[in-house]
Amino acid sequence: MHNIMTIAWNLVKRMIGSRRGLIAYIIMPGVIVSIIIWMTGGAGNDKATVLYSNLDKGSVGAHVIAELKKTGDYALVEKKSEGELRAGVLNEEGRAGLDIPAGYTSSLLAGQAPQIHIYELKTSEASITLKMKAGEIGDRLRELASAVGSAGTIAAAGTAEGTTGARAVSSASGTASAMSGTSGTVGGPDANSAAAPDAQLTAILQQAEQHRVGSLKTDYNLYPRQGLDTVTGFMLMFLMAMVTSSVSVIMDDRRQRTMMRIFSAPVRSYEIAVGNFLGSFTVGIIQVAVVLLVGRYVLNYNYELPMYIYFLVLAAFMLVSMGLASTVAGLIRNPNNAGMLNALILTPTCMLGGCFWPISIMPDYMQKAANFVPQKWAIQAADLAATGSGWSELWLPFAVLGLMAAILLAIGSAILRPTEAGISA
Amino acid sequence: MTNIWTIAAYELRRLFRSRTMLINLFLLPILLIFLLGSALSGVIGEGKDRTIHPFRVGIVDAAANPSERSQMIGSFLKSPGVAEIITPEIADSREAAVSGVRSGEYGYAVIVPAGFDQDVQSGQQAKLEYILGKDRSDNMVAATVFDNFLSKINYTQAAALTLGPQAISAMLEPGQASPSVVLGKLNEGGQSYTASQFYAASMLMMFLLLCGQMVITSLYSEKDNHTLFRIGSMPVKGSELFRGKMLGIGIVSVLQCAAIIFATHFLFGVYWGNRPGILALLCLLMILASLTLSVTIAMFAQTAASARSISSGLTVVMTFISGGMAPLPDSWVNTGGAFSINHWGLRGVLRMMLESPLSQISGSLAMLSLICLVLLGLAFFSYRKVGYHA
Repeated sequence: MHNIMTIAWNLVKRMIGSRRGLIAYIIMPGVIVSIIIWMTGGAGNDKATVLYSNLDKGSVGAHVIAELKKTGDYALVEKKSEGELRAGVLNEEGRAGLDIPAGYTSSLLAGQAPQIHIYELKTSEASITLKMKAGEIGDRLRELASAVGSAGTIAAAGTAEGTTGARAVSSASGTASAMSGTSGTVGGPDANSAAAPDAQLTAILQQAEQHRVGSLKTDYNLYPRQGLDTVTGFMLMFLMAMVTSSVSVIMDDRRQRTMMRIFSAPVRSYEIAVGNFLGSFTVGIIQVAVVLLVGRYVLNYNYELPMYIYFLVLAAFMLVSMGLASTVAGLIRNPNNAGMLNALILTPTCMLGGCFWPISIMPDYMQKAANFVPQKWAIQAADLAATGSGWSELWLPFAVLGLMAAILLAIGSAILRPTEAGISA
Repeated sequence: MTNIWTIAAYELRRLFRSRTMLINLFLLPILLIFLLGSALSGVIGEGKDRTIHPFRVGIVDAAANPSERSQMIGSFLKSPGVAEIITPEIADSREAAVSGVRSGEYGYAVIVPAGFDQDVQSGQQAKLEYILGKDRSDNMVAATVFDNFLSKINYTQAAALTLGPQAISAMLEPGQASPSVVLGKLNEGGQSYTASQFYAASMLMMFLLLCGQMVITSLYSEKDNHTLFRIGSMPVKGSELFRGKMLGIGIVSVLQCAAIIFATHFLFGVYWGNRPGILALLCLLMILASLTLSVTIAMFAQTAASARSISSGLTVVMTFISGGMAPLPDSWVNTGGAFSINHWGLRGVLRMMLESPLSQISGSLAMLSLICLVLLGLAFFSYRKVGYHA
């Protein structure tokens, strides 16, 4: 036990004992994570900018734009023409573009199926929801147009057949009938003139825009904010990069044959392994604590979950990534390449684990693959804690993280084979 | 000249002998592009490979007795399309529903006011109350399902008020087969552009910037292995050594770039545009920028490890702020992003993919050339200032 502590303490001293080490391993992470939190923490609350061009002269185009504006999810910016819209999307002035073609209203009324165009440079959550929302409005508008169209034909037939037909229809309608325009609850345009379906449609849209039937949202803030996932994601990515550097100190020991010398002392090999891991884990813990405290008290960022649980989540993740880093380092004997490969493992696992975007938008097989990535479980644990779940639910992600850590650390301790210098290749 | 070729050939042999290098250079970029492309472009598909797990929604009907409960909501909940997504469960009261949502029993709750159907039919205000649950995506799904339902009623009501009730039956006609919203083509002609192409381009830029890592490794390994002494005892000029190394690593980078472009083209169908010459020029400029940037870093950094971490850090940060990794706030891409090398390369490549006219591409090319010139000057200056000694 004494030996383990000596080795661990020595590693800690070597890493953060000097002023340089303190700046590189403790102060820099704090500053960088603050910048990350500052940049991404607010990003989730931003409205997505959507460019649009409305070339439609009729009322329908304006209605679509008004409805999108009403959702409150988009900041809409108008472009004069379709060409300008496309140029805007290309220059990334907005996340997506929406184009209502010229003559949209008239071709709707003519019974054709005009299409709204969506432009995107890259897929994002905003562009997906925009497409769904616009599609929904478009479908409804087609139904309305068909209703207006058939009302027109009924009316036309009615006038042709004489008043009896019209009376039959109006009696069938029972209540407020727009047929004669006398009862006129809404004072709509005269439906008798089949020539004015345009005005009818406008009147319907004006009715619809009042949203008599709608919904009220009661939000008890039970779900984690979008910003939390992003902040956690980038924090995880950063921690993983930091761990790589502390594992590379252990690798240096082996390359410089310091490990061999330690081995010649009365120390068992498991003591070397445990001591080294304990040392770099301690450094990691200090990093996590500093980062969390800076975020909470300097930036005044509300993590939305108890600090100690967040700390535990990040510490557990730290342990897993230590195992991962040392496993990779053990497989690749050349420390130069190990650093590079680690950096390249980091990005794909972060993508897969949902650090950059919600897992739920990925296809099913990718979601299944995400189960093998520790980031997914860490983010899930943070989410669960943020929604107020207790340990009855939190145990699962923690257990998975613990298991991953145990397996990877066991494999990873292979790098501590002190008899091999391992600089070849 | 022979010296330069000897050094370059050795550099090539050294790089190709290392299995890790080969994996790094050729396999990982393709893997990353695959991950990004399939993670994000599958979304826009028809949702075939997505299975939705139905979640429970608490429904409260405030009507006094069961016979007055809303028929509309009842039949809507029974419709097969809805049953696939949500599992409705009747809750007794609003309080019960709220506590159910809080405890996680329900993913979402909907409160139906008393007399909902009558209000709708008589053209009165009729509003459902949603109670948001614990899962963000479940909330979104449930809100979409019910909002679509309500918007349909809303339009129907509006139509009925204007045209009379017979309009309702006319509205129930089956819709046309073609979707009412389509993804438009960003380009005038040529092949269609998909979102995964964006990530292919952004990853290509990132890996071209990572080429510089090889320079750092190579420069420092001569020092660390004390082989720089031996080279120094040969009739080799310092500039020859440098040019040889740059040439060797440049050739590998060009091969890597070609491998990424061809592999993504044939494996994932990424279309790289109709101007292969300009694409090659742009990639060469990116490689030059990456090499000179790394030389500058290597000159000033103390150890190989710190040089490598500075350069890989810079690469990741630049890819990130150019918007190539994760969505950023919209205002960022054109302000902060412009300070990255990736931004200009990415712009150029994207415009080529879209077959834009040359005038739109030349701006990025000019900017990249300028960056290369500045970095080349910096590298030259720092080499003269610091030098490359054992």
